[in-house]
Amino acid sequence: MGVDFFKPGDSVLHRYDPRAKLLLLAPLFVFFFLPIPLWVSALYVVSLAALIAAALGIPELAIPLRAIAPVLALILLLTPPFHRGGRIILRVFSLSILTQEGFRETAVILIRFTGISLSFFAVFRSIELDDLVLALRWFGVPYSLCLAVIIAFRYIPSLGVTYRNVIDAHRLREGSLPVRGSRRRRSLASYLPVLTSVLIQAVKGIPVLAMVLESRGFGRSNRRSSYAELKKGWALAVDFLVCIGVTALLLAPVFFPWLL
Amino acid sequence: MTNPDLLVRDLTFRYPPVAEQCYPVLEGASFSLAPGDIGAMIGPADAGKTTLARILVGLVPRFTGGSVSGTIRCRDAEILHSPPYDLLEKIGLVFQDSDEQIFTTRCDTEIAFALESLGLPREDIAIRISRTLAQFDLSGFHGRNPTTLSGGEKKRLLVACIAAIDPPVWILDESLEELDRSWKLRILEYIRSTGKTALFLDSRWTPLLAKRCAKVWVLSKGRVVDTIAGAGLREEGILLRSLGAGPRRPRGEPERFLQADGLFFRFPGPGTFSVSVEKLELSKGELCSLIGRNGSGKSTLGRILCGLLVPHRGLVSVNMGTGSHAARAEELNRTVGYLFQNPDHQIYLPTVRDELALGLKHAGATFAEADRLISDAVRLFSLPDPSTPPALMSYGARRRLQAATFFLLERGILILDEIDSGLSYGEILALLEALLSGGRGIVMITHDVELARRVSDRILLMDAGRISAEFRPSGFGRIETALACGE
Repeated sequence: MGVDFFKPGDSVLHRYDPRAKLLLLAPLFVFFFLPIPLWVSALYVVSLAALIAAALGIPELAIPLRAIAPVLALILLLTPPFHRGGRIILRVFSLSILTQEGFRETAVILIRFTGISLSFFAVFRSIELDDLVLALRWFGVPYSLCLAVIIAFRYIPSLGVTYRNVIDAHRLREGSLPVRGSRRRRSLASYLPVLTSVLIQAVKGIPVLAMVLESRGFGRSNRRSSYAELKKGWALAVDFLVCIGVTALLLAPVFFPWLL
Repeated sequence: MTNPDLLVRDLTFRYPPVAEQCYPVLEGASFSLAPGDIGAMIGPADAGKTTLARILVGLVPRFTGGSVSGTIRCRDAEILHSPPYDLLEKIGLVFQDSDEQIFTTRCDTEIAFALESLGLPREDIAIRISRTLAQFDLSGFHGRNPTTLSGGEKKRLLVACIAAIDPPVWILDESLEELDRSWKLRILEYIRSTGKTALFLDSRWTPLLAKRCAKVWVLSKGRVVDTIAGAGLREEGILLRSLGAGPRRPRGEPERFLQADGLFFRFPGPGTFSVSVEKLELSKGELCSLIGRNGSGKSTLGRILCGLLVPHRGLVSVNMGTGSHAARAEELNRTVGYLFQNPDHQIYLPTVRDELALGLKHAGATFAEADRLISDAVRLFSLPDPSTPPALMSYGARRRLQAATFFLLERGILILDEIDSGLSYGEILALLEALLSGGRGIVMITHDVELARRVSDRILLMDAGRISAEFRPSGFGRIETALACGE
């Protein structure tokens, strides 16, 4: 996640209060570890995917799925051999590849991992960084810590830009470095000059950043005001009621199993 | 007599000793600015301008260490005894390097940060943001990520940040550098019309300051020398016309080296900026300047010519002495040099000798040959002892080292991207002369039209991604008109 992670928009997901969204993350996270029927978990994952597709656009779904695809593949490959109980579903010659228990365990882990990833993606893709900081401050997180979050999100991607600049600069000096994306491999040692330049830039930036913050008034004793504003009054109350409603819906299968 | 808005008396400052070197950056500096006065402090690279600017707003020695003595008073505040955050409403600083000063993720929050620090009501902050963004032609940029702005837009955003706080005293450290002429004028007029007291710290004298500055000083060897625009500046060698003719070129006819045909490049994303050049020829032994407004595509064209960007259409051909042939990006990397604005991106080895030897090693030079060439380069570019670590060298010396590394690489064409930034005219002319001495061609990207006129064989004017006009020396007088039409 970086500065560009937020996707601007005006969907229901964007309009939903960031504090309520952050609160909702907790029951969503817990939900996928509850002892509930598999189909209920799967239904929630499908609902989440539908919400993301509707609010952010169908192509957006590919972003988290692509990111977690290698882990999903590992789960698919490694889980069945460790759970061999129950009826054999797939057999190759005399070797049982997939059993009923293996299938169930694999599905549980896949759904759990995908569900949690989609939940976090939906929340953070639709919260602007400044709103996130305001929400954290509302929860009592100190301003200095919130500022550290902003700066981290601002500077980590900028180090990537510096790295690309330095690579370009070195390519012109040495004339023998591979073009970006080239298949030629370089040893780790050959990257040392580039990393040295980036590190020097990063280290040099630390005192300058401190200078900038103080020259913009960070450290003053007066109470700090806020330019951005989160919802207030009824609008906020409605969002929190929705949060409570969704939480109740998520926990219902545990407390009222007869509903299923 | 009115009390000065800014008073500096007997200011002496030393950085903490590094490698047993400890000399005063400023020594007994004294000057003052009355309310509403605009002053200019002119000095070469490493004269101590940035240090002085940062001392004036309380950042140095607070964050750097070092010893300071003397008095600095801004209205009723004793600067040397006040933390920077308490000076917010009294004095503001625009940094030389915009990327160092911008740290939020949106233009409006960049302006809002200081206003929030002051505890202003939300409605007031919103009004100030909209007003200042509009004043500096950034309306509609509220949600834009500042890292995506052009160099000139970033500078305007930082000026807008100070304008929103509205302190009575402004310090501008090389703040006119990346701005085109029209914006330099507009910012100067804004400062004058709002009655601000302002101090411009610059490496070069710009004629735009002449009618607007009440006081001009030269910062030289740590001392502030009182002067007046004109005669005093000529004596100090600050004025370009006081430095005689442009850089000397080696004898011989320019030899065509690089040719671009039908180039088209567009940055990714819908509606983004594109560069389109029908035909461009560059020769060895020729100094060609590329001028134009902020965001006109000068740097993008430079990056295409040296192979850092690959055009979507068209080709770049080089003539290596055996006829012209289309060159791929890798070949352009090896034949066309590009000196970045930030020398630290291209300097990374432990000593000056290592830096200079790298290119020679790739070229297969013997030890004795390399030693001789390094000694020549050290002398030609006035570099310190070859065992000196570049990290401990001054900005001007690092710039010269960056140029010297490319001098030894023997590229046919060198593209200098705003190499004049932060250097005095004397330093720029010396650098150009040294680079031209090898017979290579130079493309100089600059906003300084006076400099371009003085040193160039040819000037290309870029506008909206295209080369809109080409001037030979006989037509240099028409450049101002062409620029004014573009504006």
